[in-house]
Amino acid sequence: MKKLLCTLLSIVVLVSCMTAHVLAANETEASTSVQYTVESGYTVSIPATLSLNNTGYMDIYASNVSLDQNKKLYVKIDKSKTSFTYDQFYLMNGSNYIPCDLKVGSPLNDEKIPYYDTDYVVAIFETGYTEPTQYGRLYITPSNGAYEAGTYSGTIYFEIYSGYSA
Amino acid sequence: MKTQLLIIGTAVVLTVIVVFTAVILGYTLDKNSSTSTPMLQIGSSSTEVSGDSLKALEGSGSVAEVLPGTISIPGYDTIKMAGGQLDQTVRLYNPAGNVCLFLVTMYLPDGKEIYRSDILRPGEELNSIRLTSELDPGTYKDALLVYSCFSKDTLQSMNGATVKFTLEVI
Repeated sequence: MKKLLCTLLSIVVLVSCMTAHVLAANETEASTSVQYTVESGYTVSIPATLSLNNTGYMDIYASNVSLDQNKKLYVKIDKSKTSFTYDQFYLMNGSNYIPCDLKVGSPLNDEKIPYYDTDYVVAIFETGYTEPTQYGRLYITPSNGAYEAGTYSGTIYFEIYSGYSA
Repeated sequence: MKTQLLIIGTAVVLTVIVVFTAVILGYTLDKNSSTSTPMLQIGSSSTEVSGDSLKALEGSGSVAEVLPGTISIPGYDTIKMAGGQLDQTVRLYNPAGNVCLFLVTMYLPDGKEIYRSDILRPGEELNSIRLTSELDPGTYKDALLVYSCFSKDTLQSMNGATVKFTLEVI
């Protein structure tokens, strides 16, 4: 019986030594590393279309935001490519038009700020966030008035850039 | 008595083998999981990541998720090109899932157009482009990438975007 126990204990010790050897070998291999430079970039989601009869606002999202440290991603209205006259956005139907007021807000609260008070910025994002860290919602409200029946449409262009926060 | 000792001895050996196997497995799994962790810390333009993380990044870039009813616009902080040649290795794409066609135009900061793509359908990707003129080496801040978007069905103009980026010509 003692012989049997001795044999068993010997096997245990042998297995322990082999395991320690395998672990030690892995430690040596773990020093290998692979390097790769991640180019900074991002993807911004803007609304494809918006029906003001159903919803009076559009939300801006971003994904895969990877920027240099302290840089932020800004989304502004590109005034040069969007139908603006006297600080109002215009929906057109042939020669007829409806002026609209634009205000900037956030999905998180009811605050509405005239877009010119935010310097046309409608959303600000930071690395790793998909929700805007500031603003993120653009309210579009047709001005009151009597307008000819029909479908009025317009397009909004956005300007997207990264920059260091003030 | 002898039988009892034999059972106890066998149990001890099996327990030890199971414990050591678990230790080895746990060690191996821990090693594998620790290599993909840096991906969560990407926050600068020069971050070291493992091969596994690289594969994950490549996947997320080419097939970006597109929210329903939205247009996904790929943006770049910096694009690098080679000076003195027309053909450039640049990746421009229309994310799969977009509801629109893309027409991509590139401008220097002074407004000079240097590239205009053909229509890019959703999921279509360009990895090399041909410029309209060669570029002098230098850094061009506020170069523009204009995404004009059109309905797939009616070709009607949709909302679009202009991406400002830094063009580095080496």
